[in-house]
Amino acid sequence: MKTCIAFLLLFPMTIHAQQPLSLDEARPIVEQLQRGMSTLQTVNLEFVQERHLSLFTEPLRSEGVMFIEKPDRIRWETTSPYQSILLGDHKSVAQFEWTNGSWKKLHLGFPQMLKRVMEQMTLLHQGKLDALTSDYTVSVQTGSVAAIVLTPKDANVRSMLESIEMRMDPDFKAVREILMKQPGGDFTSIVIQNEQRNMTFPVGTFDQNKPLNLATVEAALRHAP
Amino acid sequence: MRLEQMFAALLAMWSIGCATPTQMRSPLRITTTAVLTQRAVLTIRGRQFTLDGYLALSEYYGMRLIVMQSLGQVIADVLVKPDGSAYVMRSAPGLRREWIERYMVRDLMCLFANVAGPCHVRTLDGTNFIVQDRGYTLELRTVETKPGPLPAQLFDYAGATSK
Repeated sequence: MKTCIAFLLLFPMTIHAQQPLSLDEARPIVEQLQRGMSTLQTVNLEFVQERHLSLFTEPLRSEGVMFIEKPDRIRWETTSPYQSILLGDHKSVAQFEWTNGSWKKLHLGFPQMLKRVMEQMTLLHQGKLDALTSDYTVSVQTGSVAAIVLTPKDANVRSMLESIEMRMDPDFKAVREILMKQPGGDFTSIVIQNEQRNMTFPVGTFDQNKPLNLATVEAALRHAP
Repeated sequence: MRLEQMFAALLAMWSIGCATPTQMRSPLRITTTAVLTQRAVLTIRGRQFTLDGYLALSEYYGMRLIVMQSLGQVIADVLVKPDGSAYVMRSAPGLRREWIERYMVRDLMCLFANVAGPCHVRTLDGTNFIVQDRGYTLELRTVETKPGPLPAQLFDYAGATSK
C-alpha cells in the first residue's frame, strides 16, 4: 500500500521527465545558471515546507523565510508552527529557538554538520554545482520539469535521503520547489514563494548573537527604495 | 561530519551519561485521539540538538511517535500498543533500537499515557515539558494539536524491526 501511495504521489513528476543529463552533459545549462545567479547580491523568499509521510493522510506543514547574501551569509527562519532561526556564514553557524517568550541561543551539538548544510544551500542558490560533487552525484533534468537532482554518494546518507531535487523555472533562472526524497516513498517538499532579489537587508539580519527581529527586517524591506 | 557519525556520537554521549533504564510495560491510559506536532531541544552534556516530533495518540490503538530532523530525515519511529508493548518501526543508522525503546518510550509513556512509574518529567504547563535524567535534558513543546480519528494502520506493527 505504501509503495502504491508513493507511486501515485511521484507519478505526476515522472510522467513528463526526460532522461537526466550528467553535470558534464548539462554544462551549457549550468553555465547559464551560474551566469544568472552571479548578478545576484541577495535573495529573500518565503517557503512552505510539507512533509509527506505515507502514514498520515495530510502532509505535515511548516512555514518560514530565508535570506541569502553574497558571498556566504544565510538566514533560515521557521515561523510556523514553531519559531526557530538558523544563521550561517563561512566561519560559523548559530541557532535560536523561541521558547517561553524569548529567543534562546543554542549550544549546537554538531555545528560543522549544520555549517556544511548551510554552505550547500548557499552554493545551490549561487548555481555552484561543481562545488557539491564531492558529496553528491549531480544530474540535470530538462523538459517540462526542469530540475537539478543531487544524489548522495555516501550509501549511509542515501539510506536516509535518496535525493534532493531542485525544481526550477524552465529557463533555470530560479528555484521553485525543493523535494527531498526518502527511501520508501516519503518526501519533504519546500515550495518557494514571493522571491525578491537584490534587496538590501538591514544591519543585524545575519547577526549570530542577536539577530534582528523578523518583523523589523521585513518592515525595512517594505520601505526599501 | 556526516549524518551517521552524528548519530553515532549522539548515541555514544547518550549511553555514557544515562542511568540504567527501566522498561515499563503498564497499560496505557490515553484520553484523546489526535496528532500532536512537537518541537524539542535535546541537551546532552551541554550540546543541543533540535528535533521535530509527530505523535499520534489513540484511545483505542495506542500511540506512535515519529522523530525527525529539521530537514526531514526520520531518526526514530516507534509504536506503543495499548498494553504498553513497544515496537521500533524505524531507526536511523547508528541509533540503537533498544535505546529508543528504553528511553524514548519510557518518556513517551510518562508524558502522554499517564503511566505510573519512574518518570523524569516536569510539566510546565499543558504544552511545555522538561524531561531530565542523568544524561540528558529534553525540552519539549507541543506546538500543534489536530484532533480527529486516526487510521488503524497507523498503529499496525507489521514491519516493525524490533519488539
